[in-house]
Order: sequence, then structure tokens, then C-alpha cells
Amino acid sequence: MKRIASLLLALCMVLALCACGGTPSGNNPSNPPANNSQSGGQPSGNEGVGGTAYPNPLQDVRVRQALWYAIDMDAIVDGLWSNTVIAAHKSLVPEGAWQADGLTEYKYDPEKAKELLAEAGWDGSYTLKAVYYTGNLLDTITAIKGYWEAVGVKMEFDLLTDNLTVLLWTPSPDGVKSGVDWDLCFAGTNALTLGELYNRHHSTANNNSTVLWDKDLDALIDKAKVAVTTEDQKAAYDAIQKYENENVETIPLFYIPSWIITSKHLDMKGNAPGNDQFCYQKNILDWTIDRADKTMYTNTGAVNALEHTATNPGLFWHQEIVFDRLLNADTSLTASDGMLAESYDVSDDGKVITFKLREGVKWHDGEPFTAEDVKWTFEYYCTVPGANTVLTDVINDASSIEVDGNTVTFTFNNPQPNALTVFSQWSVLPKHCLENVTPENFAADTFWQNPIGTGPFKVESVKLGEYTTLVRNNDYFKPGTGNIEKIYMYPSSDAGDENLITNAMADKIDYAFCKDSSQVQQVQDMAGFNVDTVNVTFPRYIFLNMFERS
Amino acid sequence: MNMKTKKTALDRKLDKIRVAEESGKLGTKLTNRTLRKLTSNKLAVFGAILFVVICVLCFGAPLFTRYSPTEFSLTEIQAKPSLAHIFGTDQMGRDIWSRMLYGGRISIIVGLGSALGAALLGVTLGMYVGYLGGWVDKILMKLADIFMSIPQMVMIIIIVALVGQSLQNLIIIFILTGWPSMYRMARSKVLSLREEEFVQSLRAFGISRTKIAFKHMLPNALGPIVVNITLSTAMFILQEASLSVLNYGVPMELATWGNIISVITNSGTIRFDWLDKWWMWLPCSIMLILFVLSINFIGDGMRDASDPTQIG
Amino acid sequence: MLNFTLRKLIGMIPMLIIITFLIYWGIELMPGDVIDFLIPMDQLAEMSAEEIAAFKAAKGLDGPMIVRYLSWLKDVCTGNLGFSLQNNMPVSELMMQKLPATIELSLAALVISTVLGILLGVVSALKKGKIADNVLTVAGMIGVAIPQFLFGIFCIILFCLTLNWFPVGQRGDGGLLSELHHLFLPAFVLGISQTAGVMRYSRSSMLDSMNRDYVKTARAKGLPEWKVNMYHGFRVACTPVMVLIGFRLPTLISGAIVIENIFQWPGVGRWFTDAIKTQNTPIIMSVGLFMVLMVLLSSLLVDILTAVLDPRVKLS
Repeated sequence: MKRIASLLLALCMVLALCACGGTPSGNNPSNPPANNSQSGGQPSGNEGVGGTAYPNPLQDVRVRQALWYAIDMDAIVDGLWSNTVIAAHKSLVPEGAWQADGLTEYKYDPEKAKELLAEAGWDGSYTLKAVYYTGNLLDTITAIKGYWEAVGVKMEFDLLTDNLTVLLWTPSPDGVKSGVDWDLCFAGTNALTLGELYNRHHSTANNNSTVLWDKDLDALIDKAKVAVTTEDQKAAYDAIQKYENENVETIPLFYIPSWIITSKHLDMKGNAPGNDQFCYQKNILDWTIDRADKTMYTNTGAVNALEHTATNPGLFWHQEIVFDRLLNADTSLTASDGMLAESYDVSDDGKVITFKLREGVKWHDGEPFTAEDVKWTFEYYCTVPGANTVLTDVINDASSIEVDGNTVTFTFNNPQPNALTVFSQWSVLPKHCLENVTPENFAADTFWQNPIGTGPFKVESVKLGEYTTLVRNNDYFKPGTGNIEKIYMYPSSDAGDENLITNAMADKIDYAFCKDSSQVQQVQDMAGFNVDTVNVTFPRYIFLNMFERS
Repeated sequence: MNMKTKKTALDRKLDKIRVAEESGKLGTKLTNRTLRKLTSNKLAVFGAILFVVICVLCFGAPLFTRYSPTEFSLTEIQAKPSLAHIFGTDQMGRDIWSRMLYGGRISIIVGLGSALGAALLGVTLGMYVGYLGGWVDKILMKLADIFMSIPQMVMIIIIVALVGQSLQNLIIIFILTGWPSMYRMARSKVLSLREEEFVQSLRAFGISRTKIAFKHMLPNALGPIVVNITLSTAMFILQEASLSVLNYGVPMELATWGNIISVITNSGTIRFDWLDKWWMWLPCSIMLILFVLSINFIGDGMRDASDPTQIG
Repeated sequence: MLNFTLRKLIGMIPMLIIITFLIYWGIELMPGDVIDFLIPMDQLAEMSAEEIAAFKAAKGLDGPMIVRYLSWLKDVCTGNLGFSLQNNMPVSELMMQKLPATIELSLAALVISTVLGILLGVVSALKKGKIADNVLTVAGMIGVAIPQFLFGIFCIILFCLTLNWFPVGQRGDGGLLSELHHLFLPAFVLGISQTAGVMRYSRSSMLDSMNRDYVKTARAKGLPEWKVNMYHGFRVACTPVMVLIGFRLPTLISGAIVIENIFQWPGVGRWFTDAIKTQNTPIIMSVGLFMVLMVLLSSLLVDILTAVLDPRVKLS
């Protein structure tokens, strides 16, 4: 008896080892059924892959168009996102002032997709390899996989968690071979300017791992880079959008907005919720709060530290209201009037910008704010590793930054269409606190445990991972009419606020930034909260790697 | 008093047994005593039935559901239980009953495979090294001590970060974290068996040490090993579920019990708006709990049955 | 005893060095580069190799691993746990912020599980075979079969959302009452989920000691039943239970990761998992060091406790 039992045990162990060794493919329900039309080993005659005439099937524009036509984006947006996001059918640029007219609309049309694939000779023998790196796209990708299977395109996908920059954006070394090991990447960009969306498609871009080197596209992008007036810019980006729309360089999926949740306690006195990623004039000192402790409860408090201002200028409360910028921006992020600058002047050729600074402004520690702070800040930003490229592209082009009393003059080599945006987004830092900090240590310096600015609120106390409190700056140069004396910030990172729902349930949220569509769906069910969809939207899209994978 | 005429009830019974034995009716029973003890334990029998039912449901999944676990329909998302979908559909309109069954396969394979793997590693090492002793034994014992004293969740998270998330990796990680308890148990059993007379005499006959360890000592240590395997299976299934909640488990696109249940969590915290959509997580949770419970009942029954000090 | 303790303490030093080295090596082997977590992806793509090298040099992230490990070791010996890569805060200071939350939670849970577990275990042993024993045994098994996070969710649904007795998660802000109000539910969930183990353990060791000859002798001498149970049975049965608790001590620091997540408790567990995700070496090393130290110290404590409680054991 015992012998039999021990034999059985040994057998079980061997079986277990087999189970660990190989994928238990027989039991793996997510494996797609084998496709029937195998092309019989090597495709005859040409070097095409998957039945197409190209070494990479994605080089065939008909395949790319078919992939787009095969996705029922409206159903995904309705079913998986509860319509909290906006489906994209034409361009990376959302509908509105900046979307080009006359673009082809790629609405769900599986028959057309099948036709296009048949024209391209697609035989289903090639399996596309996709990658993604944000967990909340999983259901969407699973759905897209299903839609593509329905037209005979197989896809496998993987979540990447490490080394993203190298694995995703290593450019092609020679314009032929791919620098990365995938066909599709589900990704997104939170772009401040359209240039951030399209510059990376240039053949010389050092993060272009997907778009084939194309002189025509390069020329269009170059033209947009040097356009100065808004009309020129619009025309240039229209041309790029048309070109990309025809050639399907990427497949736009949807625009993901962010949301601002406000409670019944807060009265923003008619100021728009605006844009939560960047700075704009909120007039927070005019807001009133209906709470006995005159405290506004919000999120974006420090988790590890309060984030510095060189990369994201206005993602967190403290970046916006502890610091001031030279100019105010309106809710569409266009520079409107002066903030730290009393007035400003742009020369006719757009190359010289002069700021006359406000007198008598003081840092929160009592030191006077000077023109020297401005000059030092912008020079310093350009040395910080990881500083935003919109900022550094503009400032690095400056031939001189001159200080004269309380005026600062920036002189550029070329006209800079983004200059006013830069001065309305990136805040001025106190030179006397930071001048001895090396740029490499800037982001992690202890200054960001208790930052000092000139803004309408100053930092009172920071308890990492628990709370951050700000108090009203009574010496602010533009006193407001509101009653908020204190801002209590729960910690949250740029990845989102996982405590938002419990705080809202405890009635401890008056104004919250939210990026998670599932949280918005939860808050919408609660009484006493108002959800504003932020009008500026960011695309989520599929990068199509058209280079040859080895 | 006449002893021959006055028989007690006990005497009569013993007489009957003697008669039966002498006429060859008693013979050796087909089942052994341990098994009989096990079958008389109601909880263990209940557990075994539950275990078999769930296993049959999962591994014969196509017989019990006509849906594929990956087939979705964006027009029927989060549908309440109905005749078409007896446990409703999930956030992608996939049939939850079907996902529970197919997901059970993976969860059971993870649990059972890891437990068997850990047993294979731990018992082999424990039997052989424990019998030989020496510095290898000392080092392994120290290693097992360290492994057992670091909280398992922490260790698993560190190793997942090291090797990445996949089904195979998870099983390997569970084996790595599970072998020490098997090792210690097998070793202590071997140490006590080593002094038994039958082992001493085998040695005197010059039989090889490997043969003694695996052929003669292993069968004697089998009881506790099997108990340990069942209980570890339950533990690994629970850990798989916990890891899913922390986003460290089997990749989310694979249906497992843990991954199905973790729809009510959103990066670790609770998703409150789905709490009242109970069909999306509660049936699967109950199935998981029942399965773990059934294994625990079986394991507990086996422990009692294999314990010679308890007469059943 | 003193001699024994000293010898054990000295023996820990090589052990600590080996284990910390292994952890350091493990972090090195993790896929990806720590720089990914210090500079946003889009900006990193724009940086040249020289800029990246300069950044790493400034952060002390270059050079061979063994050199960096030795310098870490040297710093630790002088009492400097290093600085968090993300915010340059001294790790020791951060630790002092996170530790109290976790210890308060785990300690409360430890107390709950120990008291309840021993109580129920003893009851169940004294009523062996009766209904109370069977009910407790089955209840204990169900307790073991429910995953911690599900139990937490069930409790939140019942106590927070339906009965409104407790707030949902997070730590209280100031004031003993608020702290206790927030602490109770997570500690209860963690404690109950650990109770089953203690109960089972104390039941079997109680049964074991009740069968011993000296208990039988005491009973034969005519001592009252409760006195026999408490003085002779329970006291000896305590030893293995103490050992179990001793082995639980290391989990004080990191045994509550799941509960910390479900209840949004700002403790070491979440902090540590975040540090692993972002490869924040100084934090991983410090928490790891603490954990290993706890493990070694508690096993020493167990040795000493056993000797004190059980007169038959001699330390050698």
C-alpha cells in the first residue's frame, strides 16, 4: 500500500514539474484558436510577411487603415469607459479649434477592414506583438484584440513595467531596422503643445521608434516648428494632421480628459475649473468655503516630496499657488496678463521679450523678490536633468537674458512661438534658497519639503504620505475677497489619488484633481459633489512600429 | 459459578470473531485503517466531495458552460444574473460563471503545482540531506530558517519584482517560498526514523544511503507530507488571490480566481461603486473560499487519521 | 544565560552582512534602471548618454556594486541609513514617520489574536469533542479559508457602509479617540485573521499538556479542576504559544501589506512596496535590515523565553 502511495506521489511530482516547466497551453483559456490559413511555411517569391508584400506588414498602409476600421471605438468608450472619455476617429488632436478640416473618419467598419486586408494579401499567419504600460488600458486592449480577431488579425500583448524609455522609444539605428521589439504600443501623451505630439515622428527625433523616416513628413514638422503666428501654426499642423490621417502613422483611440471634483461647500466665484495639468488664473483668494474651520480639503499633497516645477509646471496645487509665474494664462493656456510681471512687451519680430516686474513682492521667508531671481531661475531650469523640453527648447535659444533694475529682457536667436506659454507656466524660484543646489539634486533637494514661493498660499506643514497644509499669504500683492484660510491636502501622486473616494465619503474633499475614470463613475453616484470634465484632452493612441523587427 | 455456561456478551463477540477468522472470512481488508478513519470523519468526507465537485466543474468547464471566458460583448456589460448568464457578466460583458470555471483551472494548477513542487524540492532535500547530516544540512537548515522568518508576502513581492510577472514565475516563486517548511518537516521525520531499528539493520546490510532514504524511509514519512501538501495548496491559492489584489499576481488578462475577485479593488483599495454589483465578485469569492475550505477539511482529516495516537 | 545571549548576538553579525549583501545584489539584478523612476519617461528619452551618466554620478549610482555596498555598510555602521533617492530625506526620519502607524496596527492585531486565540483554544481543549469544540474548530477553518482582503471588504461593507460605526480606512488625525476609532477595524480584521492559527496551536498544546503525567498527578491529589487546568495545564501549554508569538514578531513591521492597502493605512508595508517598485535602494535596504534584525532578535528571544518558561530546557 505504502509503496503504491509513494509511487503515486512521485508521479504527481513529475506531473507538477511538467506543469511548471511549460505553459499549460491546453488549459490556457486566453490562447486564441489556431488560425486556419497558414501560408505553408515560407511565403513564395517575395520577402513579405503575413502575406503582404512588405517585410513588416505594418508598412502596408492598407493594413494600418484596416486595423483602425476594425475597432469599434464608440462601443469601447460607451461600454468600458462609461463615456467618460471621448472617442477619436480622425486625429490625435481633439475636435475643436486645432483639429484640421476634411480628415477621413475611420468609423467602425469590419467589412471594409476585411476588404483592405484582403487587398494587402493578409493571410493571418503573422501575430502582432503589442505592449502597454498603463494598467487601466487592459480592458480596452483586450477588446481591441477581440475586434481584430474578428477580421483575422491576431495579437498578443504584454505589460511592460521597467526600463520603459529604452524598451519603448529607442529609435531605429539606420531607418530600416527597428530599435524596439514590438509591433504596437498602446500609449498616451499629455502634451502641452501640438509639437510634443508630432515632433517625435521626425526622422531625427531621438524617441521615434515607430514612424518610418519620411522626408515629406519631416518637411511638414520642420515647417510647424518655425511657424510664429497662430495662423501659420494652425496651417502647419493641419497639413501634418492630413498627412498622418491618410497614412495612418498612429491609430488614435480616444482622448482622456481629466476631471475636477468640487463639493457643495466650495464656491469658486465663477472661476472655471480649467485645466488641471497646467497653470491658469484661478483667483483662488476669491473663493469661499462653507466650513467652520475655513479650510479647503483637497488632494495632491506630498507623498515623497512636493514635486519640483521644472518638468510638470502645474500638476499639483503647490506648484500653482505657492509659486507665481511672470504671466497669467487663461483656461485655454494662452498668456493673458501679467502676474509677477506688471507689464510685458514682445518685439515685432518676436525675438525680444521684456518684462517689467512688480515692485515690493516678497518671498514667503521675507526676502525681496528681484529680477535676478527670474534670470537665475530660467538659466537654472535648463541645467536640470529631466526639465520639460518645451521649456528648454525656448530658453536654450536665448542669446541673452539681461537684468536692468526691475526689468528682464530675453533675447532669442529665432522667433519663439512658445515663449509666452513658457513664461505663463514655469514659475520663478527663489535664488537665495537654491543657488547652492546642484542641478542633479534639484528634484530631490530638501527645499521641496518646505518650498518657498511668492504665491497666494504658503506651505505651513508637510507630513509626507499623510498631509500637507498651506495657509493664506496675507501679504500677497493682489488680496482676494474669499475666506479660505487654510488648504489641507491629502497625499496623491501624479499617478492618481487612491484615497479620493474614501475622503469624499467622509466629506473631506472640496476640490480634487482626478484622472481615474472609475473614480469619476463612483463620485457621480454620490450626493453633494460636482464633476467637471476638464476641457483640454489628451490622446491615447497606438504607436505602429513600421521598422523591421529582427 | 459455572464458567462454561455463563458467557458474557464480550466473550460471545470474541468467539464470533474467532470463528470468522478461522474460516478465512475476515482476511485482510482492502482499505487500510487510515483510510477508514478518514472516511468516518464527516468533515473530511464533506471536504472531499466539495473538492471533487469543484475540480470536475473546473476541469470539465466546457461541459458546464457554453461561453468562452474571453468572449466579450460590450453591449452586455455588468449584466445582472439571468438565465443566459447565471452569474451575470463582468465589466467587459464576459460570462462570469465561465470565467470562474476556467479561472479555477489556473488557480488550482497554481496551488497544487506549487505545493507539489515545493514538496518535491523540500522533501528530496530533507530526506537525503537530513539523513546525511553534515555542513550541507547546517546551511540548508539556516537557509530554511531565514526563508521561514521573512514574511512570505514581502519575499514574494521582492522576487516578483526580480523575475517579473507570469504564471510560470509565480509557481516557481511559490515553490521557492514553500520548500522550507517541507524541508524542516521531512528532516525532522528522517532524524527520528534514522534511529529506528529497521534503518539500522538496513545499514548493517550495506544498502546504499540513497536507497534507504527514498525507498525505505520516504514511505514512512508519507502521512505528514501529504497533509502538508494539501494545506500548502490552500495557502498558495489564497496567496495568489492576495497578490492579484496588490497587482503582483498572474497577469490580469488571464482569468484566475484572484484576478476575477480583484475587480472590486482598484490598485489595492476598494472600488466602492462595484460593491453592490455583487455578482461580479461574490460568487467567485465564495467558490474560492469553499475550495480552500474543502482542502483544509481534507488535510485536517488526514492529519487526524495519520496520527497513531488518536484511535478512530 | 548572559554568555549565551552575547554569543548569539555576535553570531548575528556575519549573518546580517550576508543577508544584506544578498538583498543589495537582488536590487541590482532587478530589471530596469533606477533612473526610470527619477526622471519622467518623455524627458528621459531626450537626454544624452553623457547627461544620464553625469546624473548617475551625482546621485552616487555609478561604480561597481560591491563598492557601493561597502559604502552603504560603512554608513550604516556609523548610524546613517542613507537618503531616499526620490526626495533626499534621511531614511531614518522617514522610518520614524511610517513605523508608528504599522507597529500600532500590528501590535493591536497581535494582542487581539493572542488573547482571543489562547482563550478560544483553551476553551476548545477543555471541551474537547463537545459542541463548543467542534463549532470553534470549524469556525477557525473558515477563518483560515477567507482571504484577508475579502474579510476586510466584508467588514467594511458591514461596519462602515451599512452600520456606519467606523470610518472607511486611513489613520486618525490627532486625538486619542479619533486614532482608536480609525485603528479598531483594521486591527480587528488583521487580528481575527491571525486568531485561527493561535487558537489551533494553543488547543493542541493545551491538550498535550493535559495528558502529561504531572497533570494527572495533580488531579489525583485532589486539586480543584480549575486549579489543575490553570496552574499545571495552561502554564506549560503557554510555552509553545509564546514561541509562536515570538516568531510572529517580525511580521510587526511588514505583515500587514494587504490590510494596509485595503484600509489605506499609511504604514511601512505600502511604503516598502512602493520603494521596491521604484527601486529606492536606501529604503529597501533599511527596511530589509530592520526586518532581518527583528527576525534574528525574535528567534533569540524565543530561545530565552523557552528557557525561562520551561524548566526542562537548558540553554547551550
